[in-house]
Amino acid sequence: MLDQFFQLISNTFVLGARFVVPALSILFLLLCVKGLFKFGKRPCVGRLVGTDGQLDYDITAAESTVGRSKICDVRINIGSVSRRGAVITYNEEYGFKITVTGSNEVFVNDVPVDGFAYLEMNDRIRIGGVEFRLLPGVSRDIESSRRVKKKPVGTALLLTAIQVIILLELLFHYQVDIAAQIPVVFLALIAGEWLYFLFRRFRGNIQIEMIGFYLTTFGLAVAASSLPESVLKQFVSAALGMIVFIISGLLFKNIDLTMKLRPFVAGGAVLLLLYNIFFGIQLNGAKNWIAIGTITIQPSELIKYAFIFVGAATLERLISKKNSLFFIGFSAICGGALCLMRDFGTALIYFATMLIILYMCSGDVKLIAGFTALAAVAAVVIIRFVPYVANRFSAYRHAWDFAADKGYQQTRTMMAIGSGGFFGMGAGEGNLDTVAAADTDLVFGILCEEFGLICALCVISCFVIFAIYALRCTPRTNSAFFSIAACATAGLFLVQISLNIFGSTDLLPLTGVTMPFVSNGGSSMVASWALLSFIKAVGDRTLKEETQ
Amino acid sequence: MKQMTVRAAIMLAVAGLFVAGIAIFVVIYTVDADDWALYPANRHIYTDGQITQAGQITDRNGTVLAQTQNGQRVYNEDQQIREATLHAVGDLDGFISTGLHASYLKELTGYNLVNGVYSYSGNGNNIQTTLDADVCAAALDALDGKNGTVGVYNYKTGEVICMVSTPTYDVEDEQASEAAKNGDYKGVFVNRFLSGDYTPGSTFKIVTTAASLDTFSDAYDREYTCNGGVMIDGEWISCMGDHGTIRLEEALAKSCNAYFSQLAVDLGEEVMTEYAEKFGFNQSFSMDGIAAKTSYFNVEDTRDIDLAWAGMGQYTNMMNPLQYLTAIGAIANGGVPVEPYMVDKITTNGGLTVKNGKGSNGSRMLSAETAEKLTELMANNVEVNYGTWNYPGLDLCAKSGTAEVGEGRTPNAVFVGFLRNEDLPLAFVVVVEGGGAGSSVGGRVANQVLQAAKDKLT
Repeated sequence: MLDQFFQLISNTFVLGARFVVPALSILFLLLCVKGLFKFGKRPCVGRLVGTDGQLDYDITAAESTVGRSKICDVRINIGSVSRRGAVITYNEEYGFKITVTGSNEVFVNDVPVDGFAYLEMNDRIRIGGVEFRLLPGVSRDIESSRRVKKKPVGTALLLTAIQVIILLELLFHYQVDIAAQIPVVFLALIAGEWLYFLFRRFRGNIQIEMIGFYLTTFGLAVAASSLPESVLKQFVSAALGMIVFIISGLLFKNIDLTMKLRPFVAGGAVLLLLYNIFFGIQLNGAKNWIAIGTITIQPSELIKYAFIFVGAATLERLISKKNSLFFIGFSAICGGALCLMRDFGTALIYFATMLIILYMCSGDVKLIAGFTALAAVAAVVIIRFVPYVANRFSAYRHAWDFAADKGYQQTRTMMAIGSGGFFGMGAGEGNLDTVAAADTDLVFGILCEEFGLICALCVISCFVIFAIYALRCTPRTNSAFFSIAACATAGLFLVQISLNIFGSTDLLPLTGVTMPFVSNGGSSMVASWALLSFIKAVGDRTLKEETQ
Repeated sequence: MKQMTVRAAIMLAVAGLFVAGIAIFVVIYTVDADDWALYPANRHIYTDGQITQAGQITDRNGTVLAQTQNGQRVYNEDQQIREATLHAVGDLDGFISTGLHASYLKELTGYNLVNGVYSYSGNGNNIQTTLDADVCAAALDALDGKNGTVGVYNYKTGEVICMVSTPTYDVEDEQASEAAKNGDYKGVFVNRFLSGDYTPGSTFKIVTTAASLDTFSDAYDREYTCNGGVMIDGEWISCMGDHGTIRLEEALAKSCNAYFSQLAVDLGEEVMTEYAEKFGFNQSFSMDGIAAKTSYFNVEDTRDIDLAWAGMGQYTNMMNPLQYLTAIGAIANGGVPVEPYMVDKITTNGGLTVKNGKGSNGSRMLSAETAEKLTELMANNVEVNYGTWNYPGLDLCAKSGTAEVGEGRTPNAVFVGFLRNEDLPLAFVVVVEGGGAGSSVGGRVANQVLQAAKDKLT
């Protein structure tokens, strides 16, 4: 009798939760987007005024290029001026600085500049015979800039509501058999995130972290559903990733130090990869694991962070002459190592990320096209000559014809997706978890089966939000480094979830890569949070808005 | 930062590609998700490939034909009923593709695009059928181990009361199930009522009669001579008797081959084809969305002898029992066919009705006048030939057929007709394969089933 009553309560709760979780998710993401994409007016930190009265430019970005090219911020369309003559940078610490980037000689107060020079107010700058002065910026319309961003406490409450509902769903699913880890970890996550929010006083685009916590919640839910004993590990990994996230945030405040760390990060990554190649262990087909005591980690996940760090640091300043050879060499080492480990899916992610970074650095479409052609040839070779890859390709687009063997994972994923419908079966109620790699490579299936298509779309739309955010923050960020790193990270996320989602649903060949934050795996979780720091930085490391 | 901003626009391309991919996925999902979810390896619905998450299937009185109990699919506890309703309900593996387990899988599991296979109670939707389990069991009993089919329906409402197909087997008998899967019982997974077709034999003379009634103003007075048969195109068509000069009413009652072969030739191929098609030959039929086998009638550019045989339901004629039953029902219903249906009501576990079955009227098959005349003629058949005493309490109108199915094989007994009874408006079709004489063997089966129906329904 009591059992029946409990079952009734449980069923009814799940019935409601199926609709409430997607509804709250949509609301939560809308609020996040609203908060993230509300930009104040850019401050005018200085003005460039031509001595002949021809030029009057308000400096509103941390880096402004001066030259004849159309792409320059300060365009001086006179034949004697270089296409890209100089770049004027502004930093709250050291003020203005001019760096020569073209063939013109640059004079500050009639003194020729050797490489770069710091600027004072009222300095006269001459480039290609054109002279202008640096004058103090003018305060803009006070009314519009005084707008104080509202603290997104409501958004955080929504997030917590979602987490509590999912936890309750899991409690109802497991009932008395629930692993003690699950409630402990969920409550710790809620407590941890609120501590963090309060510590940060809800300031500074905190919605990025909120989205991170939202995604982590689904990661924990997937772990709780498929492998309850891994929930604690998953939580600890998220905490570690969070620490990297916070440290990175502090580091990025000092852009010079960040740049100096580049060779060390690259070196460390290469050493880790070499260690992996020689002392790695094989788990689930690929030899991309190393063991430290009883803990196994996947270096290829962690090195994603290093990869973007090194790649973005290639272009320290706009139009700096540094070539990309160092980064291309580093990419080749990473890619080669991954192929040796037979982790072709991850190699593909690295490759796509490299293309984005190279394009962001050089704008060279030919270079990108060349690399893509090269990769296509490599892909054909791999497909032809690596038996297990060839095997996977033979079932591609025919998964249902091989439902018992080569298409087993994909067909089970699609069955799970079909079963879940729009609203899912309820947290923990899925069946996909018994299929190999369900909680990692096929995690989109678990999301759809247990939380429904709408929730799954909410989860993946987070990554689209990151991409648009990186793009929208670019004009106001302090350094090209942040812009490149954020775009590369968002690109990496999108490529990775494409391989994950479309691979498991037979729209692409199954490559076996994880979904950031959501797939069960410690290294993946740490890397996801670490990478999130790049997205965070592009929005945070901006010129201070006026009158906050 | 202008330059960076321009380059960062590549993120739009990357995100755009991804969103396009997701859009394609969502489109594929809306088209294919039902096939994904209902694949027999989905353990939300199946256990070891056998359907388990599905609602109750009941007969018209609420008698459970199949249901899921404690994660297992169980059928009615009476073996006779299990076997009689097997083809309506379907097996657990989906071999009987026209059974509800296979053809109403979505409805039974409660699957839909929005909710997937989620079900509040874990049991999907219930289906109430129009069948009467006891009448079905009576039909199985009457068939007495022979292969064949019995279909009975209400020609006014379209409710199918009885639909039995043999051979059948007991799904709860593991040995029998194994044997069925191994193909030991040939054709056991075919519902002959829906997917079978049979030579109509002399029952087709109803069609020829209808054509004559509408074509010749003197149809009743037309005379043909029977010399124990007739010679057409130099070939002898023999008759069961030597009827001499004979007219329509007597010819139909005695099923005179000589009469109908000459009549068919006189009507000609066009009129014969027109009437066969009015009766549903060469037309597609379905019941509750489940397609039936299409009947066949083709006398195009044939010799007179073939047309003669076709007019008596032989030659290449093939009728499908569902189509035939509908046509017979139309005669009873004043010339308008009512489409038979079996799925009466689909309800969720919470009692919400998702779908209500209804027999819709087809387009008029015969004029009311012709239907009335056919009714009288068929009533006369029973009176003078089959014997009213054989059908106590049933105001029966019928026609028998002894369908030749090939050299050296016992003919199929075919018996079709209806009750001229406002309170019990039933039409029926009976086929007993290798049963022999239509009127005696088929008639006995029909009587047994109709008596059971009369007991249950009035």
